[in-house]
Amino acid sequence: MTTTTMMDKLFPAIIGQEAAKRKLKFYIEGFEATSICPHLMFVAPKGAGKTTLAKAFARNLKDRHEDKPKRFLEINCATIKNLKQFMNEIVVTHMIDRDATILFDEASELPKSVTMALLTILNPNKDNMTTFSYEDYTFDCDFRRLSFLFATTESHQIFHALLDRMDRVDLEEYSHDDLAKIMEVSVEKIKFKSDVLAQIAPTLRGNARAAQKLSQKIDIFCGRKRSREFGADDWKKLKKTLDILPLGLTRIEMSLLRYLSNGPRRLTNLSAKMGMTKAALQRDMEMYLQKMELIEILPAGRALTGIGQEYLKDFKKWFK
Amino acid sequence: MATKGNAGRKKGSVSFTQVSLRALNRSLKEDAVVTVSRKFAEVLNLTGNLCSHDEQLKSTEAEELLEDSPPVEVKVNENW
Repeated sequence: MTTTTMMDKLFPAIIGQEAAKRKLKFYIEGFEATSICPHLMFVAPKGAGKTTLAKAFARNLKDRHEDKPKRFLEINCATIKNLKQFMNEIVVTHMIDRDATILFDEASELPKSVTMALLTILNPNKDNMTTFSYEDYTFDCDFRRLSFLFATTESHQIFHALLDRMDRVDLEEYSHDDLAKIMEVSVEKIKFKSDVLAQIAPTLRGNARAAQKLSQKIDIFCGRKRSREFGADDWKKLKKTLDILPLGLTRIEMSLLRYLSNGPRRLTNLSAKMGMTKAALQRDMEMYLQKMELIEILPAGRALTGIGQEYLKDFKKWFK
Repeated sequence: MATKGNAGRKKGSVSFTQVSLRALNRSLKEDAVVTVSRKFAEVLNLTGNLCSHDEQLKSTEAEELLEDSPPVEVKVNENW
């Protein structure tokens, strides 16, 4: 079997992320030989498919007794309040004397007490087994039976010693080709005409979830016009209806660009003009605008780049 | 000399009330754990787990928090 076919079999419907998939394939083969999978931390920006990839990976961790994936638990860490709740509702209910793969989603939200308990529970050792005691319980954690996956966008907020116990799986940014494929896979019954996907992909901000969400809207759009084809004219209508801007910018980001077209501005000045806090401007606006090289930070303040000026000039033709 | 505004014990922190042991027994089960001062326990040759007033408060708060908090959000896939 070729590597590509093998990858498709292990991770069906997962587009792109070849480096991560190669790494995960290695862990799957290791699991098949030893029943042990290292604790994995999936790290990527929001909407990049951490949970989807972790689930696809978990499907390959088979039950020792049956030819089917181990039970899979997906825990939203933001809803765990303290260690007692974790022990009562997760460990005792789902983990003691059970086989399972457990995904801790939003792992940066784990309470400190639970993080400290996980330091003991997940401590790698040659026996692949740990014991954790809490009140009346003694929990024997056998890594042959329980596999642990974590997912987060904020890896720097995970306690360093916990992070140290895991192998990181970093997801890379999606290319425009990957995003086009994700859209095609998301709405298989719709045929995208000519190069329309190449026009759509740059508006998705490199985000897989944005591709899926837009696919749903295209599905609705095609359903309304009773057609199974989506072409350049349809895209023109849809982007106007949904106010989709070039490079997927928001209207607020657009206002910021227009304001900067009058010359460099200090952050405080921008904050007052836009009616947003400086932190919100820096976190939600500037990061993407800088990434796309539309603005730059100079000693004189925030300024439009040449690309930014071109963007504003070309924007006039966007909806025509 | 000026004193710090937040220095010293909080108002009421050394207030006690006298109740009979019979009244206490009516309210509490035989094996209930009650908090008494360490000195008092030492005089009666009693041993127990040492705990500070703060820890006791924190554990009570945590218990209350647990009772009030919504359950952990867990999705379980058995056959998938």
